Amino acid sequence: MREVSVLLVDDEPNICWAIKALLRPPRYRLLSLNSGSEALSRLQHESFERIIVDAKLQDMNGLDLARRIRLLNPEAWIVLISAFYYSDDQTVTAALSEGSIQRFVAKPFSHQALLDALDPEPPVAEGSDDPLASR
Amino acid sequence: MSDPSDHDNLPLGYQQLLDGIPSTVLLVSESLRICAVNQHFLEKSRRRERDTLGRRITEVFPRVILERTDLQANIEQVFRSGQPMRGEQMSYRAPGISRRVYFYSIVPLSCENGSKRVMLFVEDVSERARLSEEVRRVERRLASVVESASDIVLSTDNEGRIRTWNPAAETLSGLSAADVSGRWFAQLCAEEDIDEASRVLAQIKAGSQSQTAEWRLPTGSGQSLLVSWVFSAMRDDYGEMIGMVAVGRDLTERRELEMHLRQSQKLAALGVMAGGIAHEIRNPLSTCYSAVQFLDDPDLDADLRRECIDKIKASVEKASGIIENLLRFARPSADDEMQETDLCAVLKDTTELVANQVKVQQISLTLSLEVPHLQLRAIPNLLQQVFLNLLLNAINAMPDGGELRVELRQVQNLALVDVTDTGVGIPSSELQKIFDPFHTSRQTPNGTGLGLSICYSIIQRHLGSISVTSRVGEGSTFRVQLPIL
Repeated sequence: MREVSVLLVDDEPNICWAIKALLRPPRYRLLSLNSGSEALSRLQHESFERIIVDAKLQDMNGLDLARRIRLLNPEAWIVLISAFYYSDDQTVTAALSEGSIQRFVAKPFSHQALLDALDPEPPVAEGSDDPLASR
Repeated sequence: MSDPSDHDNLPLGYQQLLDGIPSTVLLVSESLRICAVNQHFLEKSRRRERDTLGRRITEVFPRVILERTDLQANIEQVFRSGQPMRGEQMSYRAPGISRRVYFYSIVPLSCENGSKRVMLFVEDVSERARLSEEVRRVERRLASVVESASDIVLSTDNEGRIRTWNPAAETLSGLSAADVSGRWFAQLCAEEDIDEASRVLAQIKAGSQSQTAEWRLPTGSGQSLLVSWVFSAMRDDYGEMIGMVAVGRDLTERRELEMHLRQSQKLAALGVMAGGIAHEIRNPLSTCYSAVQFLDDPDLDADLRRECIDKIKASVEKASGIIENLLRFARPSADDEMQETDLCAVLKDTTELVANQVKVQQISLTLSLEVPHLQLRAIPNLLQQVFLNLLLNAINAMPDGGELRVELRQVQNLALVDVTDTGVGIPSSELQKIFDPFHTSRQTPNGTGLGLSICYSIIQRHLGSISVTSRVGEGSTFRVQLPIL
């Protein structure tokens, strides 16, 4: 099973705790940072297969961060999570259609929804409803 | 006809003395002829001495005066009785000239040669009469202002005992002027305000210019009115204090209106904060949801299970804390009384309320308090509404983030609160109007236009002031000044 590298940018420690407990090794290698500027400097010399960005960070707007990440890496797979926006929010749908983010997950989220958003391919699991076992 | 035998050749000194008197002085003989006359009379009557001396008074005085004063009979009476007649007043209006008022006395004199004379002394008091008439007119006017006022107007002596009590005071309090005359003003107030009332009156007595207060005025049958009072010292021409004047306005109706207005504005403010509130509640909800999903796994390891339970507890507490804060703010609060209030605590609570909103807009909020506590007389939830409005306006002015500073300083007996943002600023053409009701700018489409006018009236009610300085593109500072205890 191939390891997937994930960068999480959220300033809510409890959300980081939950996602860390969800995206565990050996399937995932997770790095969590709590500001946009830290994320940008890290991305200068390291790339991640999946990037989870919270929409409201202390130092910048998550959508702006997503756009700047895209300038660094046009191939980046970015999942926006937010307690502020709803999934049919105009800001969100616009960001999805312009391609600055690939997926959106509203908080509170089911773990399966987040896992799905991280997985660009259709699920391959059969006969199992345990999201962790399906990888 | 003149009769030379009646001329009195007064010694030179006496004549000069008479001429120096700025009133009419005449000596009249028993035959009612004029024996001596002074310069003043000649000037006023435009007569020459030789046409006057020796003439009968009936030839010299206008008929109307003679008739009006019964001068001839009065002079004869004095000759007969030997008793002076003092202080008669006579008014006289000749066609085309203003009314003249004279004051005259008739005094009997005995001459060395045994002949009798009377001295007729006539003083023109028209000007004095006009002035006192004017004074009476002004007094009547002032009295009717006080009588017709719909506000309570009362005066006290220096000790605070009631001297005057106008009809509005009678109507509103149900007490007649006779009921209250001589009673201490402070004792008419509601029991809880008596000490405060005595203190305010003492301050006026100690030289304070004017004082304002809101006290309840009992109206009998257990009811009372909330009255807004303004007190000032009454002084005489020499600046000595001779009492106090109090003007009181019934606030009942106004308060009710203001309360409704504030409540609707409060709800509008909640609407503005909705985004921040949602964010702050959905985060702990999300934590709980995750924890529950982990707990759903029967094979979950014991440490993570413990962590999940702790996270759920903490998150539920956090979310309910946020909701509680909001409820406390949103609840229609009765129009509370002024009470001793810690401004620092009000500012802390208020900044906490907007902490959510600040977070979702990338705004850094700093609260700096020069002192840990600052007591003032205030209605805490109204002050909170003022600061909340100012903070939300500042947040609205910074759609792309920025800095929001709340600073409290004490300058002499004033508390100064500056709310400064680094937002869009306010054009100078709008600065004049921003405290007007329903004035709203296009930058804040979700504003009702009521926020700042409500701030203004609340701060005024706390005897403070609110002002603004702003530069377009740089930001604004709203300054609230409040008197401290």
